[in-house]
Amino acid sequence: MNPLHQFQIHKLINLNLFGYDISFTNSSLCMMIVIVALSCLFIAASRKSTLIPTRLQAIVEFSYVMISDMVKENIGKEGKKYIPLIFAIFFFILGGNLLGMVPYSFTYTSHIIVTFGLALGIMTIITIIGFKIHGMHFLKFFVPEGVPSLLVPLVVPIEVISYLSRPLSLAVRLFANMLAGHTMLKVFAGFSITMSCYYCWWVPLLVNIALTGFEIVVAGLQAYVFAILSCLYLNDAINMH
Amino acid sequence: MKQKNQKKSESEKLKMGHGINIMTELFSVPVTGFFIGLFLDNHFETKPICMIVFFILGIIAAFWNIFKMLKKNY
Repeated sequence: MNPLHQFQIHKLINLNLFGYDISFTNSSLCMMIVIVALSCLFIAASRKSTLIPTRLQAIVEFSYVMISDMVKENIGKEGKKYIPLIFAIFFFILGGNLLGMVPYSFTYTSHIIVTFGLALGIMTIITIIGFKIHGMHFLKFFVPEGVPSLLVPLVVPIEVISYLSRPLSLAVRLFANMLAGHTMLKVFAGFSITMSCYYCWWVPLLVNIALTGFEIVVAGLQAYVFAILSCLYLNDAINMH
Repeated sequence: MKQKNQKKSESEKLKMGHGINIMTELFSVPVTGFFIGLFLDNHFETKPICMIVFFILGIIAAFWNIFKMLKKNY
């Protein structure tokens, strides 16, 4: 029983494009399931909107209000047009994390390339927005106010490195949480099987039940943290100090 | 319960993940510095100099970021 076996990628359909391997894998299948399920939920909920919301409509409206409040709180009025971006990111990650909690499924957010791709895309968009709004003044971002001119050659590389490290730290945060949590679940499940001949076999099982609940909390929390940090970075680009 | 948590300020909510934030910061900033150094080295053919300098700058940047984050919240 290998606890890392759950992260293996299998090819479902072999595809090749100009020498690049773009096979349809179990990871792509899970992403597809999440996107289709979320689209169905949102379309079904908003098709017949009534003044007094039905249960489905209430779920969707609540989630929209949550994201729009988060954006307004962190960015302000200018952030209103970025609500769809944050909304899509949040629900894509939340869907992936929660789908990973279903037995025999696959957690695509536990692969660093997926989270890094998301984070790099967001930071590229944010940098483009920053340059579009402020023009070349955006480069002042790397020179904090009140720094003595003697220290500028030292501070600028530090600020540039910490700006460039943002996608990696966003990606690693989500990836490490999902990887560690799911590995721990499998390790404790393995304990309860190897201890099955002793009378205390139920101890790791109870721990595992608690960990499953904990993992569901982590799934929501990490999606939230990813979205809120994207908001904070977007705020840095839009409202420069 | 959930409604109550929503009312908290944003910094309050992020306090839960400070340990993880520090961990990721300590990992990702020096690694980014290292890769920038590697890129510059390959560009100017000055192998280990930029790598070492940017790695050390990355460590400084990581601690500086952690210091700023903790100063803002406590």
